[in-house]
Amino acid sequence: MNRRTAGLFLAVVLLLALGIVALWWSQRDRPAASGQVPASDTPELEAAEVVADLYFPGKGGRLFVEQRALHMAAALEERLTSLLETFLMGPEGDNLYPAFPPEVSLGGLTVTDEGIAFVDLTITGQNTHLPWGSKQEMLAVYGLVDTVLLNLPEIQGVILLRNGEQRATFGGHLDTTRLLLANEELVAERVP
Amino acid sequence: MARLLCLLLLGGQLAVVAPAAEEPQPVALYESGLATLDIGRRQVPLGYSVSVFGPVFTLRSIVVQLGGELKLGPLYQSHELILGDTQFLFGPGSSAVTVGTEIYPLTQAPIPAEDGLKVPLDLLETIYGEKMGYEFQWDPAGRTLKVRRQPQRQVPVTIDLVHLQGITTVVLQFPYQPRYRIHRAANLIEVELIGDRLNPEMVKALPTDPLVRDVKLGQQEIRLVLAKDVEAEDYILQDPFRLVFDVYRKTPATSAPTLDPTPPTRSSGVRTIVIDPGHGGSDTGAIGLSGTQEKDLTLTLARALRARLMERMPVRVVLTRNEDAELPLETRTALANQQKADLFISLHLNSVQSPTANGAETYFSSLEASDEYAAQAAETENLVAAAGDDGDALYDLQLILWDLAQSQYLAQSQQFAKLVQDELNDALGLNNRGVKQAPFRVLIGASMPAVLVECGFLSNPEEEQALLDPAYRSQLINALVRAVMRYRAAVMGPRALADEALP
Repeated sequence: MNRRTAGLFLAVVLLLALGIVALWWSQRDRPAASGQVPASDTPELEAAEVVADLYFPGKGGRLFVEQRALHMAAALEERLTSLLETFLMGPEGDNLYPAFPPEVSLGGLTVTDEGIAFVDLTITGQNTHLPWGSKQEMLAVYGLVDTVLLNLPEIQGVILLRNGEQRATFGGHLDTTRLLLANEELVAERVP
Repeated sequence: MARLLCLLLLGGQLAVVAPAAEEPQPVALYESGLATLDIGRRQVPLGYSVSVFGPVFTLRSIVVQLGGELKLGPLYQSHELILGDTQFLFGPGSSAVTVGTEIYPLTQAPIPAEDGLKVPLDLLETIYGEKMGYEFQWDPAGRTLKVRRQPQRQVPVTIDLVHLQGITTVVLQFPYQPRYRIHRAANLIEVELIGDRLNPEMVKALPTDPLVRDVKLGQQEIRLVLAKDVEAEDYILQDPFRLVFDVYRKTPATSAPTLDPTPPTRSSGVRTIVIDPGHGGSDTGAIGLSGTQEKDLTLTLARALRARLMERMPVRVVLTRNEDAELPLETRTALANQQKADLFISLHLNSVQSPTANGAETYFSSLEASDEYAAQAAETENLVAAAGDDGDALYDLQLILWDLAQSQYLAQSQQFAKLVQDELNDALGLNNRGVKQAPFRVLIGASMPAVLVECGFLSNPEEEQALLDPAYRSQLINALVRAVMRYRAAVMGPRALADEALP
């Protein structure tokens, strides 16, 4: 092999090496295994107007559904926030009552990967005891829980916190140290 | 998962109590050898091994240095370590340690070895950390287990004392569980903090009491000076941590007409009834349109019910509160358990926003929610982590035990609830709202048939006025008394009732 042939061979080897490096560079961000969809292929979730069922106390110590059109964001926690803020503002109908008094507001929330919603309600004011009978407390707590669980099937249960802490009860009766699930027995069949 | 884990741990504990005949499965050890036990100025050799769950250390070497008496336990391969007046029971095959009557989970079961039992760090922390104030730090690179005294904390304490129905309850409340020992002597109980100091600024003046003469606070100890001829039982309440002493006379004073002159024992019939007037103190409960407060009316009803029950049948009746005092829900149930009551009746008055809702309803405990919780928790293994509470495993164990307390009495609770509801409807012609189930906190931990009676709606102006009428209340009380009589007859049988009536 003369000098010229050797130089040509070296150039070909270098070109091949460069080609391999370029091919690896172009492939390195692609998914390694099948079944994974690149993020850019995921359809964009957009905010939309939906009709939600809100569960408010009404006549005879029952919960009644009030349907409300809500502009719901795409992300689950934003949808939950929107739903709860609307719920806490109270009903629009004349025959229904707010579940919680005005001094109760949404302090914060988080949803775990398993679909457990931690809902923190803040109570302002001097007296930490709510002047509730047990029925009023049940309607408030389960009105909230039903509103969450019967509108957002992604959520499996609610842990209710009060001023950032999980308490034995929220208003002196119902045990809130456990996961709260929907209670449809309190829901009346018709609007009042 | 946390609750299921607890059940499994409970299963592990049962394995200690009633061990299987075969040897525990051997655990794969990745490393074994000699490490150093570093106790400040002293360094001594210490056998160690590493399993997939973490390091384990030869217990005997540590006991020699830190103290305690280690011996074989009464059960197969079990070990017993006695430290002061505390006994720790553990053994291979069980990822739990029993401390007195408490059960604590461990990261792994102790492992038998030629040089004696090897135990995980959390067992050492349970024994020597909780009880003696030591902390352990394992350095895997240097093969050194450091033991140091935990830094001293200033522990705030709130002391409350209340005398009800011949029992004085002293509550020592801490923001977290301190390390402590209880020493008992004649007429004296001393709670000694281990390694920590008390913050005396949080202690308020206590009322004069016939059974607890004085409560003295030192830097590291609280002394309860008791009257003569009294006994005291201690128990723990959680969230927040409270160490509670119930002090009562060995032979009750004759001036206490509401107490039976015999100490509480669980009877086969219905001989002890605890009535719980709902709410109290700053917790008014529901408020009627004309200002009637639920806490006042429940106390009035409870006192009348107690008097009427004692007139009509030979029962001992205890009220959870006999004054306008705030009482935690758990304390009400604990009092009923401590009194070994045969029946627990929590009296309440209802309210809702609608002024038309009316009638009485009777509740017994619902445990479905907790059952479903267990199922949910099984699917949500990270729930504990999400809650951010490291104590949840133990907390869940307590919750399970708490749930179990009422679960075995659900059928009797339902039976009594139905009798109450029937009698109320018949006597008062009320809207029959029926017998219902709900997870009411005050019912859940009761170790006896227990109901919560909503006697009417204060939010309904007509019912509020009726409840303020003594004649109406008398009918209501009579209805409750008849329900108790029918329940006693069902439980005890007519022959027992007839025998009871003999002089």
